[in-house]
Amino acid sequence: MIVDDETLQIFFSETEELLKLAEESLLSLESSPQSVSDIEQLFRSVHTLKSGAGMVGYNRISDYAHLVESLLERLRSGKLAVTNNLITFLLDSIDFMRFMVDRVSKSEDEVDPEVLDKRKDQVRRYLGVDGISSSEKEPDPVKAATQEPAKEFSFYKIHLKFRRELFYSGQDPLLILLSLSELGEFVQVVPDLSEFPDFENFSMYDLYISWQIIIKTEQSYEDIEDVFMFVIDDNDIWIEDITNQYREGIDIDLAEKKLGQVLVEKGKITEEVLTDALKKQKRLGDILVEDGRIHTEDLEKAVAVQEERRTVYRKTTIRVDVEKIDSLVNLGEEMGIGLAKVKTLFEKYTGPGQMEISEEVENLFKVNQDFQERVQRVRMFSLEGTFHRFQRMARDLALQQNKQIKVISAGLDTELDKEVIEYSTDPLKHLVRNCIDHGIESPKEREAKGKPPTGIIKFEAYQRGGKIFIEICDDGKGIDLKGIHRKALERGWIEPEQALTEEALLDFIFKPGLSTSSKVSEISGRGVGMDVVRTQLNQIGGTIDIHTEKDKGTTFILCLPLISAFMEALHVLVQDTSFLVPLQTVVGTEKFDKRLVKGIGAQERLYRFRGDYIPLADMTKILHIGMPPTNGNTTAVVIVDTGKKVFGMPVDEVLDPQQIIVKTLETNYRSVKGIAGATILGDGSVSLVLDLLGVEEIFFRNSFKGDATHESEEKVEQG
Amino acid sequence: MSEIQQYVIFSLNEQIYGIEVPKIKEVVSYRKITPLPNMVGFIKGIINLRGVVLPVFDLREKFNLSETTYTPFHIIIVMEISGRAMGVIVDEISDVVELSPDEVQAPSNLPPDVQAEYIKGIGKKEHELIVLLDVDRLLSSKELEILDAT
Repeated sequence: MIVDDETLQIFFSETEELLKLAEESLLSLESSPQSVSDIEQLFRSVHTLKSGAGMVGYNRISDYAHLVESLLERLRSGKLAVTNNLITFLLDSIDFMRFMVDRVSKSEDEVDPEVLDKRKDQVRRYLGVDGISSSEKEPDPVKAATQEPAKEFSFYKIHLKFRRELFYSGQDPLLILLSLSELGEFVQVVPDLSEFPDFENFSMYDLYISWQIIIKTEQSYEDIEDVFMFVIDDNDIWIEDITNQYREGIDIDLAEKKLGQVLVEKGKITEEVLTDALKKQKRLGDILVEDGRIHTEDLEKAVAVQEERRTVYRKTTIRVDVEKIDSLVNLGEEMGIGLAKVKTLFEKYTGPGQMEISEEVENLFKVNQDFQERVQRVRMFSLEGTFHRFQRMARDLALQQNKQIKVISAGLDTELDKEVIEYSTDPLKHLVRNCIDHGIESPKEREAKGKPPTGIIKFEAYQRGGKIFIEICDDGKGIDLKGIHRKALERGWIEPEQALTEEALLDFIFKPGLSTSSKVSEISGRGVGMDVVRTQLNQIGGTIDIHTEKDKGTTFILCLPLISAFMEALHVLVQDTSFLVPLQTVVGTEKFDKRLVKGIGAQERLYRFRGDYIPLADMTKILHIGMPPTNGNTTAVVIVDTGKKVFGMPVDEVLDPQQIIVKTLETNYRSVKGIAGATILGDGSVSLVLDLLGVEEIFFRNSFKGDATHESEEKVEQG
Repeated sequence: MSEIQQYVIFSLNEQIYGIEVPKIKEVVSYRKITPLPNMVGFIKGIINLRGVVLPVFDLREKFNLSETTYTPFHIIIVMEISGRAMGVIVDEISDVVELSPDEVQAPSNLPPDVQAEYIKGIGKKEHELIVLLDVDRLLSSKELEILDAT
């Protein structure tokens, strides 16, 4: 089936949203299993996805979604209870669908038919054995590579029919069942009450119930048998290994049927009983009204709000090419500059209507500012989506590591530039993983320390002083400073007698090759990561801070710029030419002290800064833009650290730092080494933004010499 | 450079340089240098030191510093460079200083025009900067070849 690109594009962006929506509703469903709206949203998402996939011809996706939909249908009609297992399974199914969509977006096949069939079987199993069951999961094909090899589980079917006078021998089936439950997970428990006598004949000292249990366990047959050691001889008990049957031998026909039908077929209930029972099912709202907990009116209002919200949600999302917004930002800025010029012109004007004109201009000025801000807001998104991903991740990791973790959040409506969100998602993810892997202890450990068994990860975002702060905070064991000290010693980063502040020690975390966890986990703990976190944050002009306290927890504080295109830069003047130096590379500025300058070689200079001699890079020499050589007006030195080299730049004047938007020169010109771009200052003049890595390269490789001669030759020819 | 080293401090064009004391054979006052025919750049000629003929070269030229006319106040340091005795003309000798390892900065962060290959480190004594020379690398193998030919 050939589908044009645009339709596919719509499908992909739509699907992405739908999967996200489904995931969100699953997560909220987990905390409030009764939430009808969540089930509805979940159902709707999967349903839309199914139709969408069918429309563009991805039949495997749509087939699978169809099965999941039927499962959800049962959830919706209340025939299936919301259990943790079910949620896990559904989350997994969502992942699987996402995996298939990812594959097709890369023009690969959706999935191997075999894998798909296995997957489908799993869904059918859920459909078949119902809400109380938890079928064993095939590892997700994506995760399979990273997960530990799945543990070998066996399934045993246990038939328990005790003697009626069992209680007389001092045995209790409850205790036996309890000890059995310790060996594994009950997949299915079917009590048989058919022997129950009429009330008149009922003896409370007799046992009438028998059971059929399916258990999923890592234990051997013998271990299971041991549980019944004292009763197996004189009771009707048999244990059957049904592992194989359970994996493959599922009656697919049965799976497609509804529980009621199955029960009727099995003769457990009659058709009438089923119909009666179905009639009794009520929606949450109705139940609440009946119980007098809520007025019908209020309920209707709530439902109306809910509906409205859903519609609004759908209305607000539109997709716009970022470039379009960027050009709006540009235009808004241009208008601002134009207005500034008009304003200066009218300051000299003294003719009629002077007052009105300047008032109007002032007004336009404000409108323009507002406009610019709003346009930039268009690029901003709330952190909510990002956070939901973490919630999901925390949940999965906690399960995997048998930890109890609760994620709480604050300030999720804080908005960030899309690009900033994209760049900071991975670092944030890593930090959350760190909190779970290394921060939060196991429930036992926590209890031993007198802490509640459930660890808390707090995710908080807020804006302060033109920056966005994101805090990730856990109440775990804290960072092992002694461990870091030891590791740093081992790696020869520090001397044994060297005294280090806590801050300095924590800084080692960001060095490649340090991992304080003795156990390497699959996700974090390989000692790479934190350095990457910092680099990535620095790329968008962000920083990270750590606070930690032993057994109290660790807090990571990320400080991000509002808009990634915004850059903090130091405004400097060299020979009346203004330059902007990106602030994140600036180590400091100092008053220029001639006595600290030492000549070296023919014409180079070193400057003593914090006890070391660093080279002085003369802007007039590096960027030869026809400036006379430094004429002794130098009043300050800007010291920069590019990560590779530290050097100082003598400047004539240091002005206030500015938030600037860098415009590349490539758009209409070509890239110039040493120059990251240009920016337009408030008065409309253009100033160059230095690319310090480029400057460093020019300076240290001395490549400018070649260029210089070349350029001067050109000039001669032209002249 | 794990322990305290002594350096002879001399100046060239008002910049201060240092050479490890053991490398220096003796210090003599400036004497007439006999030019050699077909000399290459930095080799100024030969001198007679108690009957031994020594080649003499000028660090100013080697370091691209401005030339100067020699006066009797100039100094010739006789040192061992790659196993042979050579005379080096300097402006003046000022001192002998001791530098501990933490007073020496590695030559990793130097401006580009500086020929870092001759520099062992940057000595920091009070407010002075001392360029510590690596005597054995002052002459390239090519330059040594030329010397051998003379």
